[in-house]
Amino acid sequence: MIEEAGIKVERLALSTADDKTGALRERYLGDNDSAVYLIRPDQHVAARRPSFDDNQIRAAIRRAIGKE
Amino acid sequence: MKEENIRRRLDAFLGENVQYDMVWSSIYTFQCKRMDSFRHGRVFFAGDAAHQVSPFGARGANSGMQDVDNLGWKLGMVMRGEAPDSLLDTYNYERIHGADENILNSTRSTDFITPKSEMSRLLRDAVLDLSEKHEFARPMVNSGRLSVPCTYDGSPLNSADALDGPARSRPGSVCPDAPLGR
Repeated sequence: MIEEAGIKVERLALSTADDKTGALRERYLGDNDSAVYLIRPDQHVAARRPSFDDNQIRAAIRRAIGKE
Repeated sequence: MKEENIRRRLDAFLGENVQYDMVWSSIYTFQCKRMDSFRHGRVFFAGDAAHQVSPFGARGANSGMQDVDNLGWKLGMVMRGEAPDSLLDTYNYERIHGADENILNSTRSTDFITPKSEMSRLLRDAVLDLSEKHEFARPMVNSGRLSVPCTYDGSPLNSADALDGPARSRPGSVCPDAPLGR
């Protein structure tokens, strides 16, 4: 869980072991070994990057709620 | 609108000697339009109040639901003091984008089904003729495609795409389904 700008963002960790159909890889990873997605309450993607970066994710959260 | 004209069309479709009562009839006029702005101060417009589409692709009710999905979390945050009022302007930006996409696609289907000009009628008829025997022409037949949620490309709420990943899950897009489990 991350708390930024007064809101709490839950973390959901998945692995390709969960990916029995391959859809997770095909639709979210492509050729990448890993990815981090920031998802809004309306299920639209706000940001994505190859790995976790605390500063970048916090900036993305602020951006997603119109704070920068 | 005369009953006999309506019955003639229905009978051609249902077959003769099918009994039915006419309870109500009217002319439904396709509309493809939207307000310039869906936000007016403290008043927000959503669904058919904000935009209308001709009925191809299940866009009308679905886009209304997508409007309130977009507005609800933003309104909650602003009311709780978690986000600035300007966040609500992005409802306008994003859902106008959605409405325009729906209107574009719905209009294309409408124009294929009822062409408005000589040229578009020629093209439409040619596509129908060709698609009977030729595979390549079939994707051009536009009898109304089922809509998909729009991607908010260019939205100010998106961060720049930092992943060289699938286009369908880029910032602004709705999360694609992915069945999980072991």
